[in-house]
Amino acid sequence: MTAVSPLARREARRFHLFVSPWLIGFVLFSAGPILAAVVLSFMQWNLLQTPTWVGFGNYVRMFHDPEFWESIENTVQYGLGSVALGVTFTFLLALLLNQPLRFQGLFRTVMYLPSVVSGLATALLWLNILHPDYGLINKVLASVGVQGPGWLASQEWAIPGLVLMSVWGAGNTIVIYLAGLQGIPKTLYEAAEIDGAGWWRRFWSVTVPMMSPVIFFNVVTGFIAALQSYVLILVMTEGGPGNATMVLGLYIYRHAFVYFDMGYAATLSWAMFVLVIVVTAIQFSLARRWVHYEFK
Amino acid sequence: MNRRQMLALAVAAAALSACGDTRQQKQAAAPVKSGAQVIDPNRPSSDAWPFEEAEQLNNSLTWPKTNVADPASKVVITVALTTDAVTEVRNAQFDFFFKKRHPNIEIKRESAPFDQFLTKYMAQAAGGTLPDVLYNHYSWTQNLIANKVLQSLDDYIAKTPEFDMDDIPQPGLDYFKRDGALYGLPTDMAPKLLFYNKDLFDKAGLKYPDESWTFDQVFETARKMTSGTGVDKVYGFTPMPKPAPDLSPVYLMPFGGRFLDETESKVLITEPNASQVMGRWLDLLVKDKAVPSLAEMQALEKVDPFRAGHAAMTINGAWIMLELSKLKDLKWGVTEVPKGPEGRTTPAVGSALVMASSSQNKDAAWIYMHEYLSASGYKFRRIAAPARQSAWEDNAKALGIPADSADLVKKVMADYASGDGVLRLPANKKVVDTALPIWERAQLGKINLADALKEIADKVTPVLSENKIA
Repeated sequence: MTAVSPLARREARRFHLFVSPWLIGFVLFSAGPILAAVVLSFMQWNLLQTPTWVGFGNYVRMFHDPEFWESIENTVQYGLGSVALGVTFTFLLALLLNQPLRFQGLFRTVMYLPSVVSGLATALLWLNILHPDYGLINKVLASVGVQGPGWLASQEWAIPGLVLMSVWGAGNTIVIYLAGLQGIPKTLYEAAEIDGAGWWRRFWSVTVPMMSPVIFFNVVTGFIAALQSYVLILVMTEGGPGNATMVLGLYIYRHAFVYFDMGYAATLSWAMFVLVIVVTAIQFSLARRWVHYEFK
Repeated sequence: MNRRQMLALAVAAAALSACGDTRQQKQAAAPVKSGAQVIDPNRPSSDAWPFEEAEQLNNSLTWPKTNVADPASKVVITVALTTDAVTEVRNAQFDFFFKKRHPNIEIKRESAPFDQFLTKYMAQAAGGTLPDVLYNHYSWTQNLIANKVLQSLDDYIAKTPEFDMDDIPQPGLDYFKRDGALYGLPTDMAPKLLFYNKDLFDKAGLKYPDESWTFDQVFETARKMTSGTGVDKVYGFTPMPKPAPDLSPVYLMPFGGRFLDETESKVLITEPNASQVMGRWLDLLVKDKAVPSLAEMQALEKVDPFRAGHAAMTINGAWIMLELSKLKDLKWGVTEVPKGPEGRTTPAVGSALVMASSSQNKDAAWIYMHEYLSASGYKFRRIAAPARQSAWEDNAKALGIPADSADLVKKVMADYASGDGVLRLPANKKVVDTALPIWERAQLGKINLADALKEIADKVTPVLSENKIA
């Protein structure tokens, strides 16, 4: 048996001390509800009556529920759109904000500001920005002779409108990218420059590979967040028009807290969990092809 | 950060906040929401409700008696209502004077926003910790009765001869009854009426609507009065009818149609009488553009185009008269809802106070409900649409509502307003949420009328099984 040094024991004690608040909180407030949700998904319960066992009834119902599949489709569309646009746009912004310019701090602050604006204010602001007649985006499009779409009032453009909005509060992602960009050793750029690499080659052969773990992190966490989104969508569209923005999170909320159909809501929650796991697993399997780790 | 950078930051922040067009923000003033406020329990008062005035009014009213005895020792009852910050002061004043009349009844007050109220108290009901007395929307009550959450009030009413049931419109009590027992007493109750903008009618040189009007005249006039574009647009009518709890009595029953049958077990919206009316409204929206579209409603950001002076006519509850009376720039008139080939119908709708069956202090809870819902209680609280008809004149006068409008409401309530056709059974919310997206697709031109109504019938029918109460 290997002897444990006093220093290691002290570190272990401190580790357990610091991790215990989270652990206690998780056991009390998350693990319990998670286990309850497993049991509830096999029951019918309207909060007021005693829950009744329905076996796989809720799961069968879910597979035959066209609105569930519609919500999955909307969720995946929103997730793909918001992650693709968000990851690209914020990466480009981070590259710009990483330039040694005058007022660099100011620009960084301004870019981060939307992240601290409250959700409701963001929703109201974007209702204005996306308005078909008076909104900023359509006015800009009109100024170059393009008639803008109906955005949130249109079935086809409502999800793209929400995707645009999702990029608004991406300040945290930019901060992560900035940290990653500043961690790339300058010697790599210097070596590339000596080899005659231009701006694009340095970006493509140094910046992107070195940033790929950070991009991968943002893609994975961005997808998980996007697949669970519903609060701003609830405020802005309530799932409409015509269920065009009925995402899975909103569909779960509606069954749980509007219809008080807790058993079915629990089943839908497990569907969301599976969706998140599947999407994440796909990303991890694809990551081998494009994520570069400096040390393996 | 130096001063120059600070200035640049301020300019950038201002530019960001100006991203949205401000023209519609003027129209879309956010409603005042109840926030945290401190009310002095020993002297509740505000600018809107000065304590001295409340005391004077309280002393001028005759407070009714009940045969239910006051508790011999101190009890605490919890009362949960949904009110705004202004009304909360008035309720606190009511509690203050109530406690003077009943020293052994302590009141613990709770308030929650309307859109969170049901969720909060369903969770409490599941935990067996409901307040003794609580607010109830008419569309929630049958579900709570069916699940034995509410206490029947008949015994208490019987013990209180002064509780004048004849002063409350009987057809409006159906929402709160089951198997002959009454579980809720209305806090407010009013019919829907036809409101019109006098200025817009004058400008168009048209006669104001009156009690002789038919829906045909409404359609025709709405088309004539639609004009302008953008922020100058005037709509002939608002809002667009939609599958909602009161779709039948307001829009379909005058034509002999219904959304659901009387037992809420069958969809009837595809029947000719109903589908023809829905088609006429769709034409008014799509062809004549005389009703705000979904996009235009978004432009107004949940602001009622009628109140904003952008619609010539609307059908709405009599309770909006209070707010209309405060709008100095809006010259409005009101008359009865229009007639259809099958006559005239309007819903009597309102909310109620209910008593939880789990209450440990039912007698004290009743004493509170009795006074709160007495004529004096309504007059003290200055409710704009009191269920007690004897409180209408006093309240209308105090609130600046024209006397003839108050008389009209009383006449309609006495003559024909009823709860017939208003959805109230447990699945009502799910019915609306199922039908509405389909109707929205019809409004957007994605689906034709016949297909939309058939799809509504197909999808709503299975939902109605949840209305079967054992």
